Amino acid sequence: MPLSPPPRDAHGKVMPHDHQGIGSADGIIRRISEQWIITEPDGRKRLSSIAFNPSSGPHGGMSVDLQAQIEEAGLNCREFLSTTSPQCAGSIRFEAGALRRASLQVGFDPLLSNAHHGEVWGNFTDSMKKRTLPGLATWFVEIEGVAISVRPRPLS
Amino acid sequence: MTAAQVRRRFRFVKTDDASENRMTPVGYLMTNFGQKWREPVIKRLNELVALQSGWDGYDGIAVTFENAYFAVGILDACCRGDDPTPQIVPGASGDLQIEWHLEKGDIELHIVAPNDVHAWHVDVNTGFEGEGMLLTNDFTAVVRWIKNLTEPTRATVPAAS
Repeated sequence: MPLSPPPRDAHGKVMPHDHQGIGSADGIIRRISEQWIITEPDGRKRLSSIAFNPSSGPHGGMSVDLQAQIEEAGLNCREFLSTTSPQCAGSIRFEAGALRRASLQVGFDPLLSNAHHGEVWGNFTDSMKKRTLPGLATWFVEIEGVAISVRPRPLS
Repeated sequence: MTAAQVRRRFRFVKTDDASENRMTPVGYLMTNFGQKWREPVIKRLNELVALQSGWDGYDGIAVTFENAYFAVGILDACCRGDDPTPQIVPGASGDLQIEWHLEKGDIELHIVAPNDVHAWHVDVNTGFEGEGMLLTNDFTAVVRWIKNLTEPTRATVPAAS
């Protein structure tokens, strides 16, 4: 079922909200640019915490794609991602319920260029960006040899 | 490499200097030459200011010239010539993050805008979650963090009795 229109402010911008039409088990996909890959001192590669940062601006959230809406439109989600952003090498997947349990809101923010675009809003603390969100994500389209999370290492 | 050669390599030039009235980051005195990290940093920043719109798969924009300039100013203020080269990653809103990931810990400087930096570090003293702070033009804390991560660990020598 198509999602109901999101709440908008006086300027027409989508306001932070938690959309009731997005189910707890729904996949929330975040496209991943190779620009966000960094190298650990042991040579292993992982995503920078900036991959989990919201956009700036009055209602800035973390841009995502809504998997259930893409599939309900009869599209293959992986193909949709690769055709609409061939520059992005990979993508990661969250479950909406897991994001909500982390006190984040999962909303609908359709764009002219992407009718299945969503946003994740909330308090993006250091801990959220560096531990919680990477810990909740799994690869949807994997970038080989790149970890999502920080691997704890002994600090001397 | 001479200072003049370094200046010629610093290519992301913008004619209207929006940062003219901003304060120079406080840390080490600027030396402007001899830093091993400078050439790879300038090369990387030149790549990031030239990113295409939508580079992140959404509405991401290139790193702004102002943020790139400020990043170099921070590094000039904080880094000695032989300090390790940081990694630099772009944000979706013209922002960028300078990162060091070293054996003894990590430092991340998120430049949201000139004089608006969220700094975070983790080392043996901070615990696993690390420590964050907002910085504007005084980066002496970052100087200390880099020094802690890059200086050889000194063995404790008991005082002679």
